[in-house]
Amino acid sequence: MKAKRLLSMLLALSMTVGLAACGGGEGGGTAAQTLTTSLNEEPATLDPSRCNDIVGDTIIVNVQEPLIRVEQDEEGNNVPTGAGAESWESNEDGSVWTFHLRDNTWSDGVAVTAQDYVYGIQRILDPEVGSPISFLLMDCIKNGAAVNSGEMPVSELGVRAVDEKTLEITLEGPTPYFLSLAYSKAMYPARQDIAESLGDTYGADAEGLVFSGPFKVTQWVHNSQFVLEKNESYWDSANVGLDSITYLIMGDENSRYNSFENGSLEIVTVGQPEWLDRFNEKDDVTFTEYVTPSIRFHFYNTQDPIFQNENIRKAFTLALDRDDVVETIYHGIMVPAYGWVPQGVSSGETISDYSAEGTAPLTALIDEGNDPKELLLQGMEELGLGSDPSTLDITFSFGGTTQWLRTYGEYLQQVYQETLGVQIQLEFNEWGTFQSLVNSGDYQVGYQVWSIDYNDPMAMLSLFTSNSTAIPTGWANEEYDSLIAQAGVEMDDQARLALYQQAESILVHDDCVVCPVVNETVNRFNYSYIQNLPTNYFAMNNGGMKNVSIQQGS
Amino acid sequence: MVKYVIKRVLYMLLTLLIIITVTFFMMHSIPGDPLASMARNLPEQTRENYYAKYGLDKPAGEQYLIFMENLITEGDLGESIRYPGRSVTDTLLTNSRVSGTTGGLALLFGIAIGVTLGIVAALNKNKWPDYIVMFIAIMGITIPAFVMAALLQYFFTVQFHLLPTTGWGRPENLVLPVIVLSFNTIATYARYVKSNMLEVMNQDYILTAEAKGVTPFNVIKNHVLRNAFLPCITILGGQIASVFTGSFVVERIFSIPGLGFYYISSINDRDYTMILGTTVFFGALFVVAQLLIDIVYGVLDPRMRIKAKD
Repeated sequence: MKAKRLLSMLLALSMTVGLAACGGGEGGGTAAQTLTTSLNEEPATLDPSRCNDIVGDTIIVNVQEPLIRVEQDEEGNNVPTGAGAESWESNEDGSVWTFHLRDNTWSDGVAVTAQDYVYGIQRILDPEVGSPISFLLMDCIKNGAAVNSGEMPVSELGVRAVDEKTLEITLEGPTPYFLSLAYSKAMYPARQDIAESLGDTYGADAEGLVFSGPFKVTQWVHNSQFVLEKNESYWDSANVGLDSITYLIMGDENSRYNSFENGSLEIVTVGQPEWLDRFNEKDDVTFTEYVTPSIRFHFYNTQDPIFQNENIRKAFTLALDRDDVVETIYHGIMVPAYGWVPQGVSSGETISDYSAEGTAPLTALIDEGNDPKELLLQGMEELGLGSDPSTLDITFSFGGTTQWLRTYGEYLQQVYQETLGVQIQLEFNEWGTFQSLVNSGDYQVGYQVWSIDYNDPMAMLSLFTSNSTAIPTGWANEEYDSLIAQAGVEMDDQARLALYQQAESILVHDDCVVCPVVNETVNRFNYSYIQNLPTNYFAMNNGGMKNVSIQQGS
Repeated sequence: MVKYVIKRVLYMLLTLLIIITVTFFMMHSIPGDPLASMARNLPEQTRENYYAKYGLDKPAGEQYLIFMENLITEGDLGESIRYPGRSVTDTLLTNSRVSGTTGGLALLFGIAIGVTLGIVAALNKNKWPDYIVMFIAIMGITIPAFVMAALLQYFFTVQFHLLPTTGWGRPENLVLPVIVLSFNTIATYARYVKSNMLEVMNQDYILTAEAKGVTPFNVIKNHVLRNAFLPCITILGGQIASVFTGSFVVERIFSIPGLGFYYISSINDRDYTMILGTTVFFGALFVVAQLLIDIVYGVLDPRMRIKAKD
């Protein structure tokens, strides 16, 4: 009885405190323009040229000004909008681009100049910096590859400041996807004086850094939190809604859910069906679901004695029912993938979603109506492996040891046993070991996730050209290489689309080198007083929080 | 005594040297490298530049000598490879302070409660206080920290809104992590103190003291407790080291920027300098703590001093 009374007193006390806190906000009529959200892990660095993680990009897009920022129009379509650049034009064949910069000021009062953008781009290709994202620009900007391999000095790179406010970028040739690179992480300005005085520690801490974007980092406690405040010297500061954003670095999923539930986090993305149901019942929250351009897939070692056969590869690709994978494994949270290019990727100005054009290559393969088991038997016959699938010795490799991967592995074991009669072995290694095995061709079939690097199908399709080492399947196809090379210089959107589709069809349908499984989705909840949150991946990652605000009177 | 301490310090340095050497060559023998997961698709030249930047292009033996030279002459553990520009030494010092605060408080709290419970249980052997204490002890040892942390977090921060869910820097952030971290200590000490006390209470000298008419309170205070506490100091040694290295799970759940994170992540990331740094740090703390415990032992227990002289 006593304990009960104590508990009720405590409850009453906490409610009073809670009400008092609410009262302050309502009475004033003007809501504080502050927001608290989270990052899933600690970013490696704030130096854009050395940052290769999505959490780092999340911060950088808010605190530095790219040439172009992705904003959404009223229908929610992405519109590349002038940011650091006010306007831009290219020469006739699209090989030289000129950007006219705005009057913008760094947070220490120094003017942002074309030279700052030149230096930012140079850092990515300068071998001394060793940028992990150099591949984005290497083959695109004139002399990029030669500079990056140290054969030419950085000054030979096709980037120059014509004057204080004019930036000219010369490409190796016409590059249709160049503008989507211009709003990706590769085109930020950098201050040479600051980078040189800080040396290797440039980007490792917030202290000493200067910012050109809508916000500036005022605090970075490693592995704990970021505090961003409005950057008053930013050119469009009057239109930046929020005064401050706090990013709590929270590695634990349940802690994020608990924090959203009690209001200490105001935005959360959910990966668990039970929490999805729970937050859906909450009143004052808004739910947004969007596909992220990342794919979970299987890939075959085409040099393997068994998987060298395309019928066997097709059998393994067709054996999987993607709707069932989504239901059984992901509880409806992902979407099935039928092409190598994820959903929601645009190309040029006229194609807003590549995956919605024409028939997806895997759909075409499924529609042919071949029985996976017959394909397997046919393939075994071609290789002289007899006619008993249970004699095949197949190991499936995973780059992780989590419980989730083990469950997925067991699911695959069951599926392949039921549809093909093959008893596969599972091999779990942590990432470093997995990658070194895959790189040396010491695997048969593997599972991996890939997130797109910039907004064009080229970012996905170029991964399988014969000179790429991104996904070592041992596969090389001259026709594929030539299609990708043609697409890389084709400035007409429709003609390029046709080339991409032919190439993707060779990769997924004809040769069946890669087996798409699902595209990832974001299931996001936010308290409804938060306005103008971007509602798709590219707007979120290449636009940031610039236009977000807190509704008045909340 | 002085001779004994000097000998122990020399052994300690030798132990550390062995730890560093074994760790160094073991971590270089596991497949994968720090750039493999981070820098895909890099042209050979850039890769080589990157390697040169961190000295990874040299043979392992040479890297080892360079590392040892920097460590001995400058006390420098190098720069993290995963987090460019961050000094390993600074990371260790900053984060171990955070872990030390939570872990230290948890240890003090845990010992205070654990010892009290142990005494209560011993004095009430086979009566209900004893059963309750032993029940708590069994719970404390069998319930994993992450379950305890998740439960406490849910009830105190979501159901009752009494405490912040996660975070660092304010006193109220400490409450839940300290409770979770101390639970194991409470359980360990309660059981240890109880069994030691019961053992001592059966000794002849306790009977002698009682026969001489010493009051029960003084028997417990002067004879039982002092002797029962000595073995507890042994387990303290190992615990002091882990106080500063933190707990990966608990720090993750409560978003505490401690050192526990780096023990796991550095290995997954193949962040060689950080792996060595964290290992050396733990090794050094552990051997120093052992040495201190041995010295304290000598001070507290005359029997040890006599043995040492022999």
